[in-house]
Amino acid sequence: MASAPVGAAFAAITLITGSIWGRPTWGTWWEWDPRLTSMLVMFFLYLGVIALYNAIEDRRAAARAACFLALIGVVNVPIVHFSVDWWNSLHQGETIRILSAESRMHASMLWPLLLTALASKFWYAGSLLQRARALNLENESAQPWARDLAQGSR
Amino acid sequence: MEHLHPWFVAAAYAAFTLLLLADAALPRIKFKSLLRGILLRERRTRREPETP
Repeated sequence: MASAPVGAAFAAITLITGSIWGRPTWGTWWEWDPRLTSMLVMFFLYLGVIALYNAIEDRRAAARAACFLALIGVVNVPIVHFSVDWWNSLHQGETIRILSAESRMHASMLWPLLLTALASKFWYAGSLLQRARALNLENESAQPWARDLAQGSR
Repeated sequence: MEHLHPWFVAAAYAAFTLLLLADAALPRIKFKSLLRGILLRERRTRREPETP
């Protein structure tokens, strides 16, 4: 459950900054393009997981229900990835090939992209741990260690 | 990249920064409010014990 808000934040960043880039490049803020649409579905799935978890009072039942929705959402991941190859769209096809052949992206763009991708993984790990810490404290707030921690934070 | 107006670049960076800042701040704020809640509950329990 700690992961869903981070995913929602990254999905929102992708959609908003992509839209800002699309306006001067494609001449439109939004197009019902397969990549954009599947990414929007992904964003709504993250919101759905968060909403479902918070809508159920019993924490265990809430976690189970959110987990089922997240598993259904996993189906969307390959759709987002391969959407540019499966359908004709505004997006260009695959440009980065790490394993099979040479990448079609210029090195001046490729290295900053790979570095940013690596940095975002670190950000994800840090944000996930922060949220897991808060969730753990919320679920265990009656335990002696949580009371000690609260008294130590004064 | 020459076709990108500086305002579009600035807007993209602003959106990126705002969302990342929110992502970093929200769990910290929640953690602190949880600690405050535990402290308040402790004080209330000490003042009004559940068992006589």
